[in-house]
Parts: sequence; structure tokens; C-alpha cells
Amino acid sequence: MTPTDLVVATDLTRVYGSGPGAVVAVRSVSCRVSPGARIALTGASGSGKTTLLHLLAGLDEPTTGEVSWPGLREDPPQRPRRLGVVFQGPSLVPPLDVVENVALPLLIAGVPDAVATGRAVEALTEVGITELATKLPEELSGGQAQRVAVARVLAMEPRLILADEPTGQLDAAHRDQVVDILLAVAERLAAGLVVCTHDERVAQRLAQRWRMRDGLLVRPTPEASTC
Amino acid sequence: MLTLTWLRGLLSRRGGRLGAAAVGVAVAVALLASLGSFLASAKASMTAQSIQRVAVDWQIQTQPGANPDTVLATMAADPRVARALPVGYATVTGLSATSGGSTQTTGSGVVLGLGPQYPATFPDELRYLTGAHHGVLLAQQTAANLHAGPGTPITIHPGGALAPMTVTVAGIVDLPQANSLFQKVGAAPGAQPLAPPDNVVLLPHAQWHTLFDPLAATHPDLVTTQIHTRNTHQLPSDPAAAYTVVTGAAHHLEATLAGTGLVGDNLGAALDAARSDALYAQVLFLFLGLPGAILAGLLTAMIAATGASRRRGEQALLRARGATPTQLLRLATVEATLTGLVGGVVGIGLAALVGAGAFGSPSFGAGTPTALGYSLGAVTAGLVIALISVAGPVARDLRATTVVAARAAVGRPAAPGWLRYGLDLWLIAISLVVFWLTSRNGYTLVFAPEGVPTISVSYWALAAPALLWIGAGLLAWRLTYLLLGPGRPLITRAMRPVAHGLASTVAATLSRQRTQLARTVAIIALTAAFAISVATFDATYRHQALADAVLTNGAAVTVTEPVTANVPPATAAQIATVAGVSSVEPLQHRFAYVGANLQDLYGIQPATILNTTLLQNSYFTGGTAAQLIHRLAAQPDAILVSQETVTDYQLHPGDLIRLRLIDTRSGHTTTVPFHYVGIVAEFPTAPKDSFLVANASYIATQTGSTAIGTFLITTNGTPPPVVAARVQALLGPSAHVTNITTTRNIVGSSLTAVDLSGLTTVELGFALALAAAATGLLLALGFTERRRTFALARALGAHTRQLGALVWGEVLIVGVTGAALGTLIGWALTEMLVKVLTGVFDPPPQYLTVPWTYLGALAALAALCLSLAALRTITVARRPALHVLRDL
Repeated sequence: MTPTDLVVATDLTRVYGSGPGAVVAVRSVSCRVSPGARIALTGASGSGKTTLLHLLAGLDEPTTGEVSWPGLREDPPQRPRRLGVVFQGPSLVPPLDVVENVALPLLIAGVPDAVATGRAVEALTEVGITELATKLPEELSGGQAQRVAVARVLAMEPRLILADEPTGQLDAAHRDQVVDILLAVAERLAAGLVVCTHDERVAQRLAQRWRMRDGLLVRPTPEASTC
Repeated sequence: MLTLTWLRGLLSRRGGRLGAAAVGVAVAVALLASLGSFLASAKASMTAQSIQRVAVDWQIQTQPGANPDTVLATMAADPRVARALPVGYATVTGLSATSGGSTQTTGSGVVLGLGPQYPATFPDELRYLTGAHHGVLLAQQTAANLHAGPGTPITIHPGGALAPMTVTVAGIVDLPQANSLFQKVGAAPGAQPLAPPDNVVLLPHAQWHTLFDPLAATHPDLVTTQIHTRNTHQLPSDPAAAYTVVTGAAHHLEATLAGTGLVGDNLGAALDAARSDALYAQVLFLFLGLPGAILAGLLTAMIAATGASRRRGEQALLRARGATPTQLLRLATVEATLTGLVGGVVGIGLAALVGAGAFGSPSFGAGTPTALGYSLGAVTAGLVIALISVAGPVARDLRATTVVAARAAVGRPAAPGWLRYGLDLWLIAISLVVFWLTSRNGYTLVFAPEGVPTISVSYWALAAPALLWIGAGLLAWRLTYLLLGPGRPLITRAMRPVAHGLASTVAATLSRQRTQLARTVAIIALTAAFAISVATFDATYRHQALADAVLTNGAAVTVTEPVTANVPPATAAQIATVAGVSSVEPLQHRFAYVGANLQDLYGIQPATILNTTLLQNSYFTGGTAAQLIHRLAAQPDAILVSQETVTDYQLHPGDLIRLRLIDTRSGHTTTVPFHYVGIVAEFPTAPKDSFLVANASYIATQTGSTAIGTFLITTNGTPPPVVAARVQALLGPSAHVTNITTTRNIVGSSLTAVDLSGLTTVELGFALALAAAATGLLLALGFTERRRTFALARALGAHTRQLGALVWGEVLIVGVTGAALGTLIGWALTEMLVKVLTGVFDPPPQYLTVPWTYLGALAALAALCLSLAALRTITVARRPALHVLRDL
């Protein structure tokens, strides 16, 4: 582990349930992500990709093992602020419009109203969806909602972006558009980027590839897990 | 199969939603069943009490020329008559008695001839005070007039040429029902009732015949025979129906007697009064009970509506997979029926528990068939509520919503049509107009013309409070809608201390959901208004019932001395020594001529009267009770007179009035000057018509007599009947001692005699339950539907404190707005209710009596429910966000 590693996972295991019906979603995974990493996390459905991503994001707690974020200068138990997550499903808060949704994590982080709104508008502009600013989530298509979710991450100016199937509901044109945005944002912010995906074309656009199989992280090359 | 699968899914995954809706239905069913059973029981109780109060059901006066024995035989044969006894009435020119060397002579009187079975058959007609229970009995007032007691010989002076007859008094009795005993049988409906005679002697029947048969032969106009009956009382429980049966039977009897007898229908008269009271009870039920049931129905609809977006989403999925509208409607109907039935059964159980707890009977004292009938009706109403609340929106959605639109969760708030057209303002305006119109006939609600079988209620008058309630509820909706919409900047500022940096987010969330929140606030406001109006009405009613009883009886215990007795004020000190007596207030009672009118004059002790009796400001004009009593103290010749006297004599404050009073020193009337300072309309023990109130010491100085007419006694918590018995034992039979408990039973209307507090106890309990449901349950369900929002906020990094700000912000806005608007509506509604129901109050209240303890408990319960809902939501929101999102 180097002080610049954005996230370091050591011997992570996540078990859901207990007894004979218990499901081991992630077993003994150790990995770390460095700044500038571009990682595609692939694997079959149910292989543990999303669970691992959530563990790395601090959204879930490992049954055993440990996660830390030395490069983000924040340690457990507090989840780091400069870590952005693009969720798989609908993740916008229904009663808030697009600008308010994008500004929400900033407000939660204590950024003043006016500054948060300004940065939200900038993020929408960067993603190219300014015209959606006053729409409600239910008035958006799946692609638009996913781009708003990306803009929300962008507005936070994170150093680590974790995206869970960001293109899962999109057609080819929108898929490429969202991946372009993610790569551009990661590039501008010099952030690490981990994308969970089923889509081979998305995976190919990322420099490294991790593969999950039955909860195990399969490393194609020894250095792959320490990008 | 689809239905079963859907039902299984609902029960396992949406049990909370179903349970909450069933709770709403249960409350509505329980309230309806409770109130219905109570109303039936109250009506039956009114009928029973009316019958119980009547000493003699029918008095059949034999007509000149008719044979009393034939009439008696006809009566005895009537299946409705349980017992019939003859009573002789003879009018005599006077009575006299000699005692202590002086002879007292009275004016005309009546001598009754009673058979030996009479006292046992009609026990309420006679009350034995002293001496023997048989032989020659003297009425209390007559004994006082003649200075006679047991063993005193008295002389009866019959009219005609008959010589005076002397008999020896065996005992003294009171005639509690003298008004009906000496009524003019066959008087036209509405005729002024005759005052009972001052002098009454009761003779054994045989002795009466010996003395008066000769008089009957020469002067049949002075002697008559009545047949008194006690009936079988096989009557309907409803007073109106019982009245119809009794009066019909009385008319039938008169027809059978074919002119040989006229029927004095005491039973019918008592039921006549009770039937209007029963209608008032019904009106109270409508006023006070129906809003509660409607609220419970609205709550159920609201509870069902909190899951509407989720339900729409689920149904959209089914539609997308090929389910037909009929199938969807069937599923909704099954859900509604299940909710209605579960709620109905629980509601009936709840009602039985309430009945057993509050009245000692699960059926509230009503007969089993009646209670079952009301229960079935209530369950049916519960099913209807469930169908309207659960299946209604589904049917509407199927007609108007596409699959895509149905899956939308929030949507932009759109102002309802009624709001754009100002329906709330129109309703309030119409309510005020109706209120003004009903005020023009003195708020007369129940029309029960004496002697007429038909009786009616002006339900039109109910429209004013009903429209106000609906209009004010909608206005609360409008105000909340405006506050959360255009008033959003205000909300942001108000939320800043609670939500800090998230204030604008909280305001935005509240604003987008203002349609649902405005509905919740309106329901909370209406619930609060319901509870406030019922509680305040109840408190005011109780206060006025006490005032009525005090006005009638004067105090907890009242001693009335005979007019001729010369009782000194020092007797008060003697009475004060009786165990259970707290204080004694002597009151002079004289008669004074105002011009040619003889009026009652009450001499009071201004320094102490306010401490011992309840004098309300509404009894006086020209100042408050305290101000005018103090005027009497400061200005000894001051006097309070009636409005009628002021009008008749064109009096102005300060005017000199000369009254003629008996001066005991000379035995003649003397003119005493007074100065008019104010108007008195009501006074303890005073008659309803004109009377006067002045300073006792001034009257004593001017008339040379300090004699006291009445002692008003307050007790130290000892039951008034117990204290009354002790005082009676102290003062002897000549003093007339009454207590407030007995007086309320004798003179109170059957409405006040029925324990109305039972009705309000039930309603106040349900009001608390409704308040708890409206605040806690609605908010909790609303929060449950927004778990996604909270989970997402948490996933985005929100701390528990920030989540708390989102939740507490909504709690504050909903709670404070609902409570504030509810208080305003409740106050306005109570003011209107008390005015519209003026007929229930006697005397009308001068101000509302606010039950602070109950309202405090209500506020505390609402705050507790809101807090519990908020804390529960925050606890759930603290779970890992992914768990929550995965569960949704």
C-alpha cells in the first residue's frame, strides 16, 4: 500500500444471511486502486461485482476484512466525501429536480446553497444536459437519468469514481456518450475510475480489467489488481 | 389464481399498508357502532325515565251525570291499564285551625278522598313528612298556613249550605306532583296550566264520601271523581313512538268512554317533552358524532392514498403484462373487502370494549337486536369506506391513467379544481349566510308543538356548521398549499435553524409534495377541530347544566321556609353546624308591589352571596355579576329589576322606584324607595318571570323584619341528599329542604337527565384516537413511502443529523400548521355549534368553557405521535442505504 492509493481492500469477505442459506457474495478479495487507474470490473451476473464496488465505496460493510482510503485522506468508519458513485438503478431523489439532485451531495457536504447550485449547473453543462435542469426525475428517460447521475458525481469533483453498470439501460449511442463523459471527467480530475460492466465494448475502453467469479477476484496479470 | 397470488403477496409484503387502512376502517366502524348503540340506549333511557317520573299515568275525570263506578269498571277492563283507583276532589271555601290561642283561616282549598291502596299504587304522588301515613293528612304548605301538625283539629268549610266539619290531622305530607294532580283535565293544548291550590287536605275515601256526598247532591260543580291509573307501559323504546302509542290509546279510551270521562294524559305529556329531547339527542349525535365517522373515513382514504403511487406502479406492471382492467378492479375490490371486513370486525370489538369500559355494557345499554342492527350498519359503512378508499382510486386510475403515467411517483403538484374555483371560500360564505338566517328564528332546531303528534327538526340549521367544517378544512388545504408553493422561500428561512445547509432541499421536497402534505394538514386540522369543538362543547354543556341546576335549586342544598314563618338570620349559624355543611347563605324572600304587579323580592347579603352561589355575568345587564352585586353593597337602596319591568315602566339607571312591602311592625304595606341600577334575568330560586333583587339589610330596616325565606347551603363534598336529610331533621317538617341531585332529576329535561357525558366520553376518546392516527400514522406512512429518498440521501453521504433535519422539518411544518389551523377552525366551529344548539343550553352560556386539561392531553398525544413517527423514520433511515434500497 502506498500513501497515494485511493482505496485499499484487504481480505474482504461479504456474506449475506446466515446458516445453510448464507450467500458468500465476495470472498477474500484484496485489491487497491491508484490515482489515474481505469479499471473495468467484469463478471457474470451474481459474481459479486456490485457487492465489491459497494464495499470499495463504503456503502456496505465487509463481514470480514478491511477497506481504507489513504489517498482520500479519510479513514473508516467515515466514508470519504471525494468519492463518487454512479448507481446501477434509478438513483435520483424523486421530489427534487435535476439541479437540486446534482447539488444535493454538495449541500450534504456543507457547501453553501449558491455555490452548490453553481457547481451543479456547471456539471450539467459539462455533461451536456443543461436543458434538463428543471425536470423532475420521473420526467427523464433512462439515459438522461444516468447522465444526471454522472453529473452529480462530477459536481463533487471526486478523486475516485465508482460506476455500477452506468450504461446498462442505454442504447449504443448513449452508452458511448456516458463512457466518454466518465473518462473525460476522470481525466480532468485525475481521478481513479472503476466501472462495473457486462458490456465488453465498455470494458475495452478501460485500461485494466478485473474479473469476478463466484465472489473471487480473478487477476489476469499480477499487476492488474494494483493499477 | 391471480387473485389468490395477489392477495398472498399483499399480506406478506404490504401487510403494514393493509393493516393501517383496516385501522382507519375499524375506528370509523367503532365510532358509528358506539354512537348508534348509545343513541338507541339514550332514547330508551329517556322513555324509561319519562315513564318513571310520572306518578299517575292517566287521570280520567268523570263528567257530570256519569257514574264513576261505570267509568272505573271501563278503566279496569282496559288491557293497557294495570291498576285503576278512584279519587274524590271537593272544592271547599276554606280551612281553619286554632293553635296557641289564635285562629288561622285560609282561603279556598281542595279536599281529596283517597282509597287505602292509593299510596302503594302511586307512591310518587305523596311524600310523608311527619305523623301517621293514614287518616287525615295535610299538605305541608297548608300545615304551615294553619300552624297545624299531627293531632291538630282543623275545620273544613265546605261550600253550599253544609255546616263546617272538624277533623284531626294525623300526618303531614308533601305533594311533589301537585301540578299534574290538580291539573284541569281536558284543557286545550297550549292552555296556561293552573296553579295547584295552596290548601289541600287528604281524607280516607270513606270519610270523604261521608262528608261530601251531600255536597255532591246539591253542588255537583264542587265535587267530582277522578279515576287514576297506572298503565302496563308496554311501549316502544323511542320516546316519539311511545308518545304516539300513548296519546292514541288515550284518545281511544276517551272514545270508549263516550263522553262520560275526559283523560288527563300525564304519561303522554311526559313523553311529549321527552320526544323533543330525543330529537335534540339525535341532533347532538349528528353534530358531534358524524364528523368523527366522516373523519375516520377520510383518514382511511388518506392511509390508502399514501400507498397510491406504489399501488399504481404495481398495477401498471400488471397491465403491462396483460392484466385486464376488470382483473385489476377485482384485485382492488378483494383488497378493499378484506380491509373492510378486518376493520369491521376489529371495529365492532373495539366498540364493545368501549361500551363495556364506559357504560358497563358492550351494547351501551341498548337491546341486543338494536345493538346488532347498529353493528351491522356500521360494518356496512366500513365496507363502503374501504371500497371508496381502496378500490375507488384504482377505478379512477384505470379510466384516466396510462401505464407510463401510473408509474410516476411524484409528479408536479397541480392545484385541484375546487381550489381554483374557490370552493372553500364559497362554502364558508354560504355557511355564514345560513347561520345568519337560522339566527333569525332564535336557532330553533326542534319543533314539537304541544299535543301534536308530528315533531320535526330543522336540519337546515345543521348546514351552517357542516358547511363551515368542510369549507374550513378545504381552506386549511388551500393555505398549506400556498404556504408550501409560493411560500417556499418562507419555508426555507423557517427551516434554516433545523435543517441548516439542507433547508432549501427540505423546502423543495415539501413544495413538490405539497398536494399530499396539504391533504395531511387539512385532515390534522379537521381532526384537531373535531376534538376541540367536541371537548369545548361538552365542557360548556356541563358548566351550563350545573348553572341550570343551581338556578333551579339555588345551591347544593336549599331550605325554603314557609312565607308565614318568621325565621331569623341566626338560623344560618345553626344550619352551619350540621355535618357536611360548608357555608350557609341567608336569602330574604318577600313580595313587593311594583305598581299593580306583585313580584318576588330577594334580599341578599352582597358581601357573601358571590362566594356561595354561581352567578354568571349573563344573568345580568348593566354590569357584570360582581359589579352589580358590589353596587348593591355600596348603595343600600339599589335594586335590580327585570327587563320587563324596565320596559313597562320606562326605567333608566338611577331612577327612583317606589315599592310597596309589608311592614311587619304595622302589618300593613309601606312604600319603600329604591333606585334602579341594573337588570337581572336569572337568579337562584327565582321564578322565570319578573322579580327583584335588593340589599337584605336595607329591606330589613325598611320593613322591620329580618326574616329569612331561603337558606342556600354549600356542602363540603358530602352528597347533597345526605346533607339535606340532616338539615331537614334539624329544622323539622315545616322547612322545605331540597337538594340539587334530586332537583335535577325532577325538573331537568330528559336530555340532561340522560348521562350525556357518556356520549362525549366516547367521542373524546375517539377524538384522541383520530388525532393519533391523523398525526402519527399519516406521517409515518408518508415517510415510509419516501424511504427511497432517505436511503438515497444516506447513500450520497448524509449523516443521521441531516436525515433528521429532513424528517423533523416535515414534522414541524405539518404539525405546527395543522395544529394552528385546527385550533382556529375548532374555535370558530364551537362558537357556531353553541349558538346553533342554543336550545340544548339552559341558561345560554355567556362564554365557552375551555377544557384545558383535555386539550393539553390532546396536544401532548399529537406531539408524541408526530415524534414517534419521526424517530421511527430516522431509525429506519439509519440502516445501511443499500439494504433499504434493496428492500424497496
